[in-house]
Amino acid sequence: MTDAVLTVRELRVRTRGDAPLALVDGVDIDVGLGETVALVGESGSGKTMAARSVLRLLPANVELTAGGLSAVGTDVLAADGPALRGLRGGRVGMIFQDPMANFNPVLPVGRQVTEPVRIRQRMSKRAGDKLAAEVLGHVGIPDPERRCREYPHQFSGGMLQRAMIAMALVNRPSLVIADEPTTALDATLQVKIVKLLRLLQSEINAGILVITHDLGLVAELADRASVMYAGRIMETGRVGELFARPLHPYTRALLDSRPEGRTGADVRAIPGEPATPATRPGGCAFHPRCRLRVERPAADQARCVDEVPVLRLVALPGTTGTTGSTPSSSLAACHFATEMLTVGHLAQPRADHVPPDPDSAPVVTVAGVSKRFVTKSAWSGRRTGVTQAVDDVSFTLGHGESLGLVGESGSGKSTLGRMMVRLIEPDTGGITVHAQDASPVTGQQFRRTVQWVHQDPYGSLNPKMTIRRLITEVLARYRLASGSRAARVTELLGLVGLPPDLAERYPHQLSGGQRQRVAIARALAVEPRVLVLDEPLSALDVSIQAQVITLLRRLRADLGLSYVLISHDLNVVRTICDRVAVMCEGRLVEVGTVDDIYDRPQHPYTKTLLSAMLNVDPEDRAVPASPVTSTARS
Amino acid sequence: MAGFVGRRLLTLIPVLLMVALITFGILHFTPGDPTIAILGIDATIEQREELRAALGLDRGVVEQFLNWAGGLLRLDFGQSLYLRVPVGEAMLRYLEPTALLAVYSLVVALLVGIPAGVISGVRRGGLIDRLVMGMTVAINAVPNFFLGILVIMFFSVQLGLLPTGGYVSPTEDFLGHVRAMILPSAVLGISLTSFARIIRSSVLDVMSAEYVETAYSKGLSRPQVVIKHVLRNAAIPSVTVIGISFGNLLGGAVVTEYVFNLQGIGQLLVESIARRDYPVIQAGVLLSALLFCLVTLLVDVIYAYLDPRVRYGR
Ligand SMILES: Nc1ncnc2c1ncn2[C@@H]1O[C@H](COP(=O)(O)OP(=O)(O)O)[C@@H](O)[C@H]1O
Ligand code: SF4
Ligand SMILES: [Mg+2]
Repeated sequence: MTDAVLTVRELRVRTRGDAPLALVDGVDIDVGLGETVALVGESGSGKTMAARSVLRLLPANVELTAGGLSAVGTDVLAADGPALRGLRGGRVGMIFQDPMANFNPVLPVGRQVTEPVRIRQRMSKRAGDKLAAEVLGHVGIPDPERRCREYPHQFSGGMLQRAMIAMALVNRPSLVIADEPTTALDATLQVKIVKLLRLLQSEINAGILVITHDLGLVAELADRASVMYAGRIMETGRVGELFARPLHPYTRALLDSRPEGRTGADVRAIPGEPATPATRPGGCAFHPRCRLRVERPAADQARCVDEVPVLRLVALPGTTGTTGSTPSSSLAACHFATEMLTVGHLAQPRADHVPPDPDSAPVVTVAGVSKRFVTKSAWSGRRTGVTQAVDDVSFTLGHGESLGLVGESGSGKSTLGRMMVRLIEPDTGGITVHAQDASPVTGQQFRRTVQWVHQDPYGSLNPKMTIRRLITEVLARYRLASGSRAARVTELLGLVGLPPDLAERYPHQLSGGQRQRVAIARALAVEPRVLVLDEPLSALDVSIQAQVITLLRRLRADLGLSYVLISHDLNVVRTICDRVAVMCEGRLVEVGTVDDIYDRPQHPYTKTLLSAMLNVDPEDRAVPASPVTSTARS
Repeated sequence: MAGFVGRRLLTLIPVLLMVALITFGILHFTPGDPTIAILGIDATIEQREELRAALGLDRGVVEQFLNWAGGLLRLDFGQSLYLRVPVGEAMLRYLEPTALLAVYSLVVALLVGIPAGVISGVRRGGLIDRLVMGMTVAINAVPNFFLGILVIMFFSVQLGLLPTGGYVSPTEDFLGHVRAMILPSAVLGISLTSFARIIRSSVLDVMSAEYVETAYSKGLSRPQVVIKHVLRNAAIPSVTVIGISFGNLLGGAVVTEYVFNLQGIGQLLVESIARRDYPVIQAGVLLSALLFCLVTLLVDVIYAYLDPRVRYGR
């Protein structure tokens, strides 16, 4: 490592008040010049708090203590106002997650981008405009002279994220902190942003601290990574080693629950919910979810509950010296980390899904469906635009089949999904749903046969009703299970893996994963044959995503359901679906089996989508990674 | 922008037409007789019939409306039944104190309310915040007329510094005008400053927006953040509220006008209603509607100026 641009020791962030919660609990971070370090973890693990501590940009109700905190040669803990402002936007640039929310809506983008310069030196308006155009052009925004005078709402999300990067780098900082820089973006844009970040980093040779929950981004961007859980670092090491040989059960579990490059059968969910500062268990914070612990003798198990494991170097027997590879630089906070070198898979194998017979009778036939939207000006009522959201789309969905509907946002996936559940009517063409005996179903029966599961379960669950009422209401509407509704609610909750006592809670008392399960249970209440799932996983954490994937696969096998899975995440689609339909600008450009689409894509657009997947193994990068690859190369 | 304003002005026509029709209808179908108001309760039937014919009240309702509406097109609002002067003339005379009072009290309200709202929003929970919030509650709780009477008792009766009431036109005696308007403008202005609360809550909203945090992360100091990023965004929701209270003022701050005997439009309207002076009431209501619409339009223009998302019709 070269010169350190960030050194954090024993960082603690606590809420103020009588019963303080530890949000960050003793974290060390080191970033050197030119180096990229990732802080990975599920949401709520304290990544953002740790990142913001570096510039002391914390909410008023939390307090920060640290054994040491120095950024680009400044002692942040001792810094006064002017010294801090010198760091912020000067020697340290910060990139945030949601570009739309992080630009002031009433000021031109160019002025905001150059603000870190303009508050430090006097600058004429012309010089400011010139600088804005120059830096925006540099991050790949076309026609920057014009665009720099435009406002944030006139930019797309991807363009705005580029502008935010320009803003963070405009003073050529030595340290860049990027908090979830790609999370708010479409897959195709994520790759472009990652490339841009790497390019710019090589230009200004800054150290980057990147905060993310996305292991694909870590593999693509980072040299080293620290895995965070419940405010603590579980494992830290070089990215190549971390991916090839995880030394902490949590790292291993995270890697195993990735949908990337898997077919679904080997996606393994981490049981339970991520710990929050309020629910963090004693001892090892991960112990209620840990598979390694379960396999240990009782005394060892008790140790996990009682004693907090410290982060320490794990000795690798056999590997060091013999093959001439670099010794491990990984530290893990697990009492039994060395066991991780020997144990095999930490999970039970799962029964695999049998793809349906392609000739089986279809449940849904979509024939030549089109839909256009006309937007009208609010003042004059004149047409201002016509969007052909869906354009002459035809396909069939077989019994027990899962069809993935993929494409960028705006490609018409959701509109097609909404037509399939009759939330909107097509302009032309027809959607037929067949009963068991192949006869078309209509009216009320249609709504029972095809159910819709929404992207944002929180928005679709009435917050004033208990889970029991939410489900009972659906049963009542279709006059189902009268007399035994309480039992049916319990049965439905059991079906999606939720305990019966959860029925008395309100939606806001549930976690995101639980809410998504409730939404699925409610859809199942009417015994549908088809579920249309619109981005069912996009709001969930990796480990929870894996749980829902597993659930969907099991339900399909148990209940003989067919799925239409709408997603922009090709990795998720691959884990669940049998066939994939690729949509682009309202048209279906390619339909095929999962293997065909992923291994032998025909249409150029499909190829673009696939190349945009952030699932590159760290070995594909220039960084020498695991011993195996480095020996192979030498 | 010009096209936008032009279109909005055109939409005024049907609005005003509806207002004219409705006020005419309501007035002519409510009981009460202007001739009694003018001649007194003792007048004979014959006297009243005579006056009725002279005023044109004996004709059919439709004919009366068409007459009146036709006059409107020529900007002729008719003759006041009671004051015996053209309505337009009466309106202008009574509008002057009202309009000036509205403008002055708006200025007072803005000068007090904006800094108070911004400071209490920025330093939430601080001394100024608690003081301002307490004051706005107190001001809201004290009725205008009571506050008015208090200040008259103190400044005019006790100290004898300012007149107790009455209106002086600035064209006649500017100093007298200033002296006459200080108390009513202050009373009305202060009672309006409750919008400091709205400014405060919009400032609070904006202060927690992510782009404000971004601004801090760029190295801006707190005053820079407030001035460059918070104020304009916080102004957007406040403009509507301020505009509506200003529109209400233009319709006449009746109570304040009475307390300070300013002879304003609100006072004229109330008296005309008692007198069943139909043409004045109708013109007064129309004028209020017109002014209100114009203020709303002005608010929308300011809105578009402040918020590019509106300007570019997103
Ligand atoms: N202002 C706050 N006061 C108290 N707790 C907070 C506050 N902001 C965030 N938290 C809590 O701190 C924990 C860590 O949050 P955060 O750093 O945002 O996690 P991450 O970025 O890893 O998703 C979460 O449990 C969150 O609920
Ligand atoms: S310390 Fe125990 S519970 Fe924690 S990760 Fe290691 S084995 Fe699992
Ligand atoms: Mg975060």
